[in-house]
Formats: sequence, C-alpha cells, structure tokens
Amino acid sequence: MDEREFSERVMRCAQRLWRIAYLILRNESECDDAVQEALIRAWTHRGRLKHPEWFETYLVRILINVSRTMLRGRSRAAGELPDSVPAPAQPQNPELRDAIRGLELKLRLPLILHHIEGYSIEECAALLKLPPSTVKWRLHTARKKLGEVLKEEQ
Amino acid sequence: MSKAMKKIDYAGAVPPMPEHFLKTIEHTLKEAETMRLKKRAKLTASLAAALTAALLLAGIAYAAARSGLIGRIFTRSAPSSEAREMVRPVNKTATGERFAFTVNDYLIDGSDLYVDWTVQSLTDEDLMLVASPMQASPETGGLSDPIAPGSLGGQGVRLSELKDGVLSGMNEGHLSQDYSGQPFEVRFQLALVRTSVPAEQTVWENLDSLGEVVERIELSFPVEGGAPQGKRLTEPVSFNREDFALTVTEACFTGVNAQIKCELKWGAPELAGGDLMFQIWIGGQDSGMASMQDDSSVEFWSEGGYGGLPDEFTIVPGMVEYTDQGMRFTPLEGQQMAVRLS
Repeated sequence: MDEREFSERVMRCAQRLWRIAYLILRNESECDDAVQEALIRAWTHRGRLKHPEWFETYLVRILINVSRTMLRGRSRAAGELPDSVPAPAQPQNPELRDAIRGLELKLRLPLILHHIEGYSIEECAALLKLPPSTVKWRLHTARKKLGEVLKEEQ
Repeated sequence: MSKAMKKIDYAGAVPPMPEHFLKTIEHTLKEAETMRLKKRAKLTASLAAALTAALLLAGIAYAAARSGLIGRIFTRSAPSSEAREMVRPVNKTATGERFAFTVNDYLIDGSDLYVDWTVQSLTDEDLMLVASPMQASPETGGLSDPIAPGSLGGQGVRLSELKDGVLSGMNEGHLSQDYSGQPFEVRFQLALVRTSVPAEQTVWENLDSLGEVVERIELSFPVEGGAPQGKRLTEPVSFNREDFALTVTEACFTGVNAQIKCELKWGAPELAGGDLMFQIWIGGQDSGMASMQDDSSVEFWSEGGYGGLPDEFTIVPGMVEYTDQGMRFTPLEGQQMAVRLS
C-alpha cells in the first residue's frame, strides 16, 4: 500500500476514528495524540496487512490499543502538535456521552463499536479478540448499566 | 432493557469531528514516514568478516528549521549528554553540475546509526532525485531493509518540490545484533533523472528504466570504530504466570533510546480484552507503560530520559480500571519480572 492509498483510506474513515477516540478517551487533546500514534503505527506495520480490504478494521484496532495505553496518561504521541486544542463542541446529548464514558472500558468498547459504529457482533468479536458470546454479554451489561445511569439522571 | 433504551440515539453522544482532529490526521499522514523513521527505522548490518548495512534514504524533507542531528533524533525529550557526545561531524560534500549532496554528521550508539544529510539543487530544471538505499561496506551481499518494504524512503523527489532547492533529513538504521563496534564505511548513491514517471515508481532499483539519468553522485564516509554498545538482553527470557506467559525477546538500552519487545500468550482469553497492562520500571522509576501492539505482542520504546544505562529493568503487570478520574493501575502482587541486561 503506497502513501496515496494509505492517506485516502485513512481520510475515508476519519469520522469513525474521531468517534471512537472521543468516547474512549477523556479529552480532545488525547484524541489527537491517539490518532497520530495510531496512524504512525498503522503506516509502520502496513506490510502486515495481508488483506487490504480490512484496512479500516486494522486501523480501528490499532486506535483502540493506543487509546487504552493513552488512558494511562503517560504515553504521549510523537510530534510537535500543541498540547492544547480549541474548546470542544458539545455533543447533542452530553448526558449520554458521560454515561458511555462512565462505563468500564471492557463494556464501553463493544457498545461503541456495535451501537455507534455499526459493527456486527462478529466484527466486534474480531476487533476485540473476544468470543462473540462475550461480546454479546458485555453489550447486554453495557446497555443495562447505561439504562440505569440515564434513568437515575432523569 | 426498556423500550426507552431501545430508542437511544447513540450518535448524539459524539459531537461533529472538530477541524483540529482532521488537521492532526492530515499532518500525520504528511509526516508519517518521518515520524516512523525517528522511532524505529531499521538498518540491517552484518559485521562478521565484513559488514553490510542497509539504510533507507528518507525521501521526506525535514523542516529546514530543525536543529541538526540531535534535534532530529530527540523530538520529545531533552537530549542525553551521552547522545551529544556520540555525534561525529562528517561535513563531506559531493558536488555535481546540477546538485550537491552533503553528509553533515552521524551518531552511532551501538544499536542504531543516524546520519544527517542535505541535498542542494543547483539547477532550475525539474529533474527527479532518486537515491539508493544506503550501504555499509565492505559489502558481503544484497541490501536489506526488513521493516519497510515499499516505504517512502526509496521514492524519488522532484527538485521543483524542494523548498528553496534544499532537501535535508536523517537516515536511521538498525545495526545487527552481532555488531561489536568495528569501523565501517557508509555509502550514498544519488541520481538525477529526466523522467515523467510518478514519484512512487521512481525507486533506485528501477533507475535504468526511469528515463535519462543526467547525473550521478556517490558519497562515502567512514564510521569510527569503538561505538558504545549500550546494554542488551543476551537471550530471550520467559516468565510464566497464572493468566499469561511473557517472553522478553529483545531489549536494548543506549544513550539515545530504550527498546523492549515481548511476546504474550494468554491463559485466560477474556483478559485479552485489555484489562491487563504492563508497566516498565527502569532504574527504580516508573518509566511508562508498554504498548500493546496487539494481543500477542508488547513493545516499549523510550526516547532517553531514563538517565544512564541500567543493569536491569522490571516489568510490572497489573490490572487497569477505568474511572471518571482516569485509569487506575493495580499491580499484580508478586508477579513482577526483573530482566537483567549485559
């Protein structure tokens, strides 16, 4: 995969990368760092991608791994971008965002991937390297907890 | 789940993608190769009876404002004093009619070789600059670059695209495990080609079929022997724990950076979801988290900042919990893994 194709494919899934990073991480500055690190890693290891049609899945998986590490709060991505970014726009439903962000990551990830990104249970399982049954159970638990939190807030 | 829950519009949880995020992506795409090279470009050199190395000539220009080799290497932290002392000036130029190539200086830390160079265009003609992989001699075989097949490094660059006619950058290459400090010579080969072929097709291997080669330049310079060897893991070391087995396959600490690579096997598949992580302690200090490349490999990379060369490092496995206050890391008691270096 050459630079042009890599860039085109990344730009096609930019919105998806944003949504995933936004709901995993705590702030927008971290989202920038995470996507930067993920792209460098994806570019470096693109030779490992045997099936180019899985590029987006490959990139999402890397972003998830990077974001997990980023949550530790120590791993800053390379580059010279400023640490501060403009104040973020609020989502249409900030309560829902907060409720999702409040879920444990192991519950949050399947929820983001399935309900927001539209991945099937099997795709989520492949992305998270979990059995489909575990993904289903975590989705069930995530929805239940989310329901409880949102109900409390109403 | 209640009916109300089923009607949740999950899309409402995320605001539209902000412009800065898109800019970050665009910036990274533009600089991905440069950033990759800074972190982990590999040079394979074999020095037994003789040495062969392969380096990529990065086809990406670094910003001219960057301050020399040290500035290019240390992008995230202050340069170590060991690294500064390892810089060796070269200041050697090969000048042709249409362009000149200068190797400014190099740094070898026993693990990697970093070379700072500049190309100056001396013509108004829009020619394609094509460069070979850089070689270390005496040569014993073909060139190899195990990590970056088809990377940008081999691609041509149009002189018309150079800012003020100058292209400057750094090659970084990884020396083979058996390199033990012998002197060797490094060679660059560059050519200008009159061609209309797109840049991505203009690799050195195709030089003869690209068009008219109007000028060629070669430049060699010696790399001194006696480079510091840093501290390394002599052989892989494995640790078996209840839920996982971790094998440290590589570890190398130099005055420039630290790299650790591990393989991971899970005893409990559900842990692969990401609740187990690894902290690295160097010189008695928490030096950060190892990065999960995927569920079976773990890597740690640090740009200096750990002070001196340690005799050992410790891997601390722990469970992570995610709370409103961020991540909480709880070490698994009694499961630390100390790894000796020599």
